[in-house]
Amino acid sequence: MNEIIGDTRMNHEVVILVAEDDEGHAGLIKKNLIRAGLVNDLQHFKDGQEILDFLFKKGDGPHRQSGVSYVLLLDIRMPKVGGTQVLEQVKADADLHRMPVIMITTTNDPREVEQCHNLGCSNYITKPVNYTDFVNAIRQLGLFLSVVEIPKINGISTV
Amino acid sequence: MKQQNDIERDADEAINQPLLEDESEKAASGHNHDQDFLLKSVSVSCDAGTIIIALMGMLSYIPGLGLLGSIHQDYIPMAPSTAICFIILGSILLALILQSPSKASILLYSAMAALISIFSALEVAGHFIGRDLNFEDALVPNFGYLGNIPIARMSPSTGALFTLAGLAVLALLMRHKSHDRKISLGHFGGCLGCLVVGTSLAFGLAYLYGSPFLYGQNTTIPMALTTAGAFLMLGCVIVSNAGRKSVPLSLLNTTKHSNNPMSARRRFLLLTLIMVGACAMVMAVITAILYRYEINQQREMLQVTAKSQARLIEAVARFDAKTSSTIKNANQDYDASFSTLSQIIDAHEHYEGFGKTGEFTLARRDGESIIFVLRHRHGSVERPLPVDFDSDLAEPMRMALQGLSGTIIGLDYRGETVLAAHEPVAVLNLGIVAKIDLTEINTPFLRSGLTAAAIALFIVLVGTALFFWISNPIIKRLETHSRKLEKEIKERALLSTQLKTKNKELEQIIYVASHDLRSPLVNIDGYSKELEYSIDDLRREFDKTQIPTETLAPILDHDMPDALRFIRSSASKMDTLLTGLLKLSRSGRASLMIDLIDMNDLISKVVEASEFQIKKAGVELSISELPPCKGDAVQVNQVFSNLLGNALQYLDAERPGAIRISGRIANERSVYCVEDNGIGIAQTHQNNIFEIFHRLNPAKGEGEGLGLTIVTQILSRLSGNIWVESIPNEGSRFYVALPTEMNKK
Repeated sequence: MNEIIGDTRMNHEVVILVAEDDEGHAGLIKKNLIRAGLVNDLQHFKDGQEILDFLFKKGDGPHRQSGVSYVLLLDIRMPKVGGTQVLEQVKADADLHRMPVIMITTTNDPREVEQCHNLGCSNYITKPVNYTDFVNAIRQLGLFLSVVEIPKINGISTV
Repeated sequence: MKQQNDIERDADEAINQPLLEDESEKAASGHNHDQDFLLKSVSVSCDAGTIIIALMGMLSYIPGLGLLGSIHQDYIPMAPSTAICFIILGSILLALILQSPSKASILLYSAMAALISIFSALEVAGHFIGRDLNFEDALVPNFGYLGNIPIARMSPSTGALFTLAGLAVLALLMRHKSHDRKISLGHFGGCLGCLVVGTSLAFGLAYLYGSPFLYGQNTTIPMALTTAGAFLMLGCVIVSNAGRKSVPLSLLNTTKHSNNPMSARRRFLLLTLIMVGACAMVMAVITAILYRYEINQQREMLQVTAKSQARLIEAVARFDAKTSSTIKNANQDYDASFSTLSQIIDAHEHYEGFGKTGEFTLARRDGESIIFVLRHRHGSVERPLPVDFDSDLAEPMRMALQGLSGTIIGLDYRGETVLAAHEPVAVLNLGIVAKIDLTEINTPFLRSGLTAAAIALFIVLVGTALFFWISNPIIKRLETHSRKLEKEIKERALLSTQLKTKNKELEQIIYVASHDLRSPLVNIDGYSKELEYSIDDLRREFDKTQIPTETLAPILDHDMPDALRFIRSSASKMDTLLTGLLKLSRSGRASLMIDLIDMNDLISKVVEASEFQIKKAGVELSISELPPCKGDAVQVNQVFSNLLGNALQYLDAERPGAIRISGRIANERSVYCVEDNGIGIAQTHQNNIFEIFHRLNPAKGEGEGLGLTIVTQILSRLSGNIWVESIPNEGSRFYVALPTEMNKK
């Protein structure tokens, strides 16, 4: 409903949220996304609590805005609140559950992959140590983001 | 002092009962449940028995149903008052067994039990005072006699036992009221119950010796046999109702001491007690049977003798009477009977008697006295003194003179209890008695009984001692053994839990390590690459700006890229190791689906997966017919993939590769062999190859050094094993043994 009412924004206006406790990883992701040609806004969150505060508009930090499309890159192992917990809460929320969530994690443990897919993540990327693999993975992510229609979240205003 | 402690401990036990049952008795609870059930069924059936016997006792007073109350017409029946007491006590106990009584009913039951105790105690007291309290005249006003024993009256012995039984039931009832003294009241009731059982058993056994033993000469009412039987059952009900923990039952209860096994002394005492009891019972029964047999034998013998003597005397008298008619003609004073008598007396002078005390007596009745005509064996007087006809003495003779023929146990002319046969002598109006002192019959029995008892006791003691001598070392060994086992089991359980925690920790460590250790590697590798980009950028900038780079060129072209290459290759190697660790930890956690595996099928799949490498290496692969085995198909696939991978990896470049996979069944196990003609493994390394991260040739080829570790782990989970035979430069044979389908049976 809201998509029709609001402007259909271009994909490059999608804001990429990165929840990643490792600054280095966040930096690499950013660099490589840029290198892959994505010019979207990118917001970095240091742990699960920060991203939850942002998404659910709590605390003093920045809050999400209505009518903006977001995509969330989520690390599984984070301090305070883990990635799977964040995913769970996001998928349980009426406004947020359609937001694409891409898990970016260091392990490819099949059980963890399965758990994330069961919770409803859109994609699952293992952080490869090998740089070229990593770049390929990020490129694919860029490709994915440019192809997929990202729904906007209008949050409270729709209620 | 010790007893005091015991009582205190009992009290503690009573307070801590729920706790105790929780801890030490949990293991034995199943056993206890069985015991409780057994006790309950014994109680109910014995109780029912008591009530039925009592009811039959009551019914026997209805004319025509006499035999119901007594098992033999020569035995006295149960008194009505006794029967009523039995019915009341039995009903109270039945109510106690079947349901937990309310406070009011406890009060009522207690009052009834107390009343029975008081009534029966008065009955006993009355007997000792010598005054009948006439309680029972209300029930049966005109009682009869069996011999000289009055029936339908409670015996003093019955009264005594009722006093005890009433108190016991009272104690059992109080147990429901006062929880503080539950245990000690149980002990009290149980002991009284035991006393009742023992006494009634003694009376029952006495009946085995024959009723004369009890009825004897006295006029006191003995306990009826049916009463003894009813008391036996009532006692059993009381004992089993007193509870598993009361003294009499806990003596036999071995499970109570499961934590602290019975001491040798206690065992010895208990065993001796049981053996002595059993021996005594057997001896009593045997002696009783023999005694009855002996008495009957004697009876018959005496009767035959008395009868034959009587007939003989009659014959002589008749003969004398016949001949006297001719003699009488010559001599007016001639008395035929006198002549017969004098002949008999004359004959008797030469015959002292039979046995030690056996003799004949011959007497006639003269008015109110019995006149003995023969000289007696006992006593010094030439002619025995006459006995008053109404006195208690000379009972057999009185019978004979009354014209009765038979046998009797009674007092003779001396006042001695004798077994006698009495027979009237018709012709002369005499009575003849053949008798023998009862003590003469009893004495050998008493003597042999005592001797046998002494011998039996000796044998029992020796036997028990011998039994202990033999069994004690065994029991002790078993005890130490079981203690050791118990300790070991406890230690093992502890170890096992420790091992489980450790295992979990290890899993966690491996998981965290492979997870968190990779994180920094991503950065190391990623930023190294970023640095490479930066160096390239720098190089391009330098080229653009034409800054002289003679000194910088080697740094930018060699030193820095080399350093970064080393950093990145190390990071990559570390990543490989971590991935391997993760794989190992996963394969250790994977759930297994044990099934029968068609190995021909499985191996062909394994080979298919490695087809490319096999073709690339130009290996000649031969596979023979393989037996099936039991295992998890995915895991077994992993095993053979790893083995085939190893074989392919360590081929000798000098010669064309050949790999052979074969299998057979040996010792109920399927044994498979993967054989190659590769570089082989030196003897000294053969054990190390299964260690984690061990690599034969780290420089050559890739791999984590985990292949064989994973194989070993999988096989240990599938109850299989692996071993290797190898000759360097000739090749290796890896053997894998797995359970065959035959193990399934």
